[in-house]
Amino acid sequence: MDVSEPGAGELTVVISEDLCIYEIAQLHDQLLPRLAGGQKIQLDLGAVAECDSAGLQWLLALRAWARSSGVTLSFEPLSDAVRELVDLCQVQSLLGLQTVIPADMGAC
Amino acid sequence: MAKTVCVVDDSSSMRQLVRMTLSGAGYDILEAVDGQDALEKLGARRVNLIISDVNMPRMDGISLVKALKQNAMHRFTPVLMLTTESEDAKKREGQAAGAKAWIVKPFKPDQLLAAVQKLIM
Amino acid sequence: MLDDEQWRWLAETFISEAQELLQRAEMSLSDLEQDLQDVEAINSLFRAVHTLKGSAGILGVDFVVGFTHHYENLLVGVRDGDIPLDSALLHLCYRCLDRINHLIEAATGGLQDDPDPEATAILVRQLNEVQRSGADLPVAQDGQHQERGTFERVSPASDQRDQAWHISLRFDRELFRSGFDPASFLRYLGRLGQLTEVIYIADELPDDLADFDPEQCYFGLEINLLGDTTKADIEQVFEFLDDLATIRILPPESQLEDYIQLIRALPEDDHRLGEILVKAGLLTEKELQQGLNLQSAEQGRKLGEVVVDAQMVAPEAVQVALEKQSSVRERLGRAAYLKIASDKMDELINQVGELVIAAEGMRLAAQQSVQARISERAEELCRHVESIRESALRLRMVEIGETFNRFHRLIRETGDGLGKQVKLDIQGADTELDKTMVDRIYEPLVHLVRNAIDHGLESPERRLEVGKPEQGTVTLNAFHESGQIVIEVSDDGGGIDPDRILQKAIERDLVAPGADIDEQSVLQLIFHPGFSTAQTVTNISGRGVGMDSVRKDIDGLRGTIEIDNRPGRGCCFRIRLPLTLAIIEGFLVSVGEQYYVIPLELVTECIELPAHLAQKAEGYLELRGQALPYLALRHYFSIKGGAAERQSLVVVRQGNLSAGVLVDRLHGEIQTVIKPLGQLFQHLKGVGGATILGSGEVALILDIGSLLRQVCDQTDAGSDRLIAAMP
Repeated sequence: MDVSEPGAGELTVVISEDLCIYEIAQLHDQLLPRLAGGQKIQLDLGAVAECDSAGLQWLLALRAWARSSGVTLSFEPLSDAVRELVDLCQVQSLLGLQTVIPADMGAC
Repeated sequence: MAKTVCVVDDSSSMRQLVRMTLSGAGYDILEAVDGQDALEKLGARRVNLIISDVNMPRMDGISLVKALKQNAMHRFTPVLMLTTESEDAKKREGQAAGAKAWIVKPFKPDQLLAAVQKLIM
Repeated sequence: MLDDEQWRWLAETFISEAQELLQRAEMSLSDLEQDLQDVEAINSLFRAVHTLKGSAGILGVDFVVGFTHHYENLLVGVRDGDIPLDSALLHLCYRCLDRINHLIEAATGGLQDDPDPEATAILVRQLNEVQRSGADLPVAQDGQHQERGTFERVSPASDQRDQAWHISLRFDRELFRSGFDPASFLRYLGRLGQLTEVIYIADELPDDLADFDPEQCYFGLEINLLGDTTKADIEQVFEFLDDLATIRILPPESQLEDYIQLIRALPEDDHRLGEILVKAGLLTEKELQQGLNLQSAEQGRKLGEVVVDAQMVAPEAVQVALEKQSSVRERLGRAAYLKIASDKMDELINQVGELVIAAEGMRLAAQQSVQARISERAEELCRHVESIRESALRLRMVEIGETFNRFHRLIRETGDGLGKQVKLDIQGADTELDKTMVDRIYEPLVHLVRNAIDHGLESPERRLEVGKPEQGTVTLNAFHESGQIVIEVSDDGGGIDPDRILQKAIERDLVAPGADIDEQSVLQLIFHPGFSTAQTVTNISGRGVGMDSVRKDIDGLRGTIEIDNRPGRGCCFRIRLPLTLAIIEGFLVSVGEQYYVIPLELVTECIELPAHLAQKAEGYLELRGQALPYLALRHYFSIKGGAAERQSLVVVRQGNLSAGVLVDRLHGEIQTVIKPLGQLFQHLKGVGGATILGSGEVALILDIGSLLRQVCDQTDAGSDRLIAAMP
């Protein structure tokens, strides 16, 4: 995980590890102290090769925290592995992502 | 990315059955002949699922589960135990140790595949 | 197509079923009267009406179906809590039941149309009004409906929703650490069908990240799965999640109807509710186990409630399953009994009667035979015939409880009409008696019960004055006693005042002033035709039926009635009836060539006496210092020829009347099948029936009750003369 501050109150977090049960506690512990003071946080998940339910739940927990603390949090970009799970669990709107409707499901 | 399953059984025919069934479905297989062998072969190599027999020489399945749960590298890895009907007491012991998934021998290949897929798909 | 015979059979079945159902419905109503919230009673009422409608439909009695349908609709509203049940509505329910009763009677009588469409229309209008106003009331929503409402709000694919399985998952916090990934289950589920909706329930996620343990599982899933699968298959997906998840699987709403059909189509075994739901695939074995565990943890709750509350099954399905269960129970209850047309039964009893007679004849003949073997065989045959007779008679036995239960309503209505609060206490409801007896005892009981409320029970004010509870009690009791059935109608009222009875009797010239009559005889005076002591003519007693009709009915049943009077504490009318009407243990006597049968239970003793001691047609004899009225059968039936040298006196007693019957010869005990007299002889006094003896001769069965009254009345009227004539 690589955390950078492109500007004041801005935070870019690049995650290259798997977002799975084995990694998640460590990622959480690393990120938590860095979040203080961040107003605009971007999580770059483009390099995440594996993502499980624990990983997805962590993203949702971050999102819930951001919303309640008035922090702007975006997940951009998403790797295929993350996207697959997001679609499977249909949590696009919960994560503040643009809803991508799979073609086979038709319009809602 | 193909998921890897480690099969631990002292019976080579059982390992063969598991290998044929799962590799056909796209899983990579790692074989071990008993608990001790499994711990050595797994080492720092994380797998997605461990399928283990209960009764094995040197280290049985229950001990293997206990050891895995103590191992930071493998503590969250699901374990599917292969058991016979007569090993009900063992089953409870195994569940207490952390092996939540069980499949009763003899089983058909598709039963095994279904069990594996429910756990890692 | 059914032939006429089958139709007739079907119609008979319908009528007897309809009567049962109406009775059950009425019982439910009287239960509801005790407790308007009695859910079981509402259900039972609904089921009865529903079943009634169904069977009327099978027979194509449309006017019954039509009205019953309106009634059923109302009951659905009541059952579902949409229409509150109050006493006014209960009254309407009673009236509807009455209407159905009338309609069924009309149908039974062969009518094709409602005989009084206006009466029906009025009720229908009232039913509709209640339903309309009920619909305006805020409908109590139960939790289940609200829950499902939530699903509906969050799910966009509404057109697919009622086609989809709904799966609800809540996970244990340790799920991830145990090696499970719900995503795998979701993917696997995707193979059973299309995951049209997945709702991620993130409510449990802590807002404060410091409280968040990323290795714990905080979320839940609500899943809609579109696919042709079964509940068991879906449950299989989660087979390893045993303790780590709460799983609820609800079938598609569109399929609910199919499931309901399935439940109805299940084989007719007496399944428990859970088994029915499992068989229909609405509940899995695992869920049933959980449900039963929950149920045992929460004492007193019904499994149906538990599984619905736990969202394992839709409430509609449980409702249907319950109905299935109860209908199967009803049917099984009936299967335990065999319904037989009463004429067939009568035929059997009759034939058994003939067999008894034939066997008796055989025994008599064998006794005269010199071959001991024949005599032995005949005795053996008679023993078997005797046991067949007993079994055959038992077939006709029914419990009196149903008859007793019919009185709940009568008591309420009579009490209301008289401004008296009355409680019915039923005892010995399981006492069995002959079916024909049951039918015929109802009317006299009605009269006695009305009498008890009208004349027996004091007004509420008076009761309070004398320190009794305001509410009076009428008790119906039945029991067996020494080969007889005893039925008691008692009340806790003021009892009968013998002085007043006597005074009335004197006023009406029934008794000579100053006559010395014992109390029981005084009390029996109330059974005299036209006797009434009511101070005011009430609706109840003004029906033109006196207590004399009660005695007539009881006599007709070869029974007796006695009065157990407890002044100030109440009164008990005790009816004693023979076990059956068809066969009696008789005592055979003869006068000249003519045979007569006296019911054995009425015979107290037989005395041989010289002819000169009883020359008169009737009069008094001295028996152990007591004057005993007697009657000579020879005179009574105008039999020609002189009296035998030695005559016999059969002393009979019924109730508290005792008399002697003078005959020529005694022939001993005999089993007798009573054959009713034809129209011609129906008015023959003193004879209750006839029977054919083993020898082929006809014997008349004496109606001792009427003989006794005649002999006592006549001797009373001319008592001075007769007593004077005695030595």
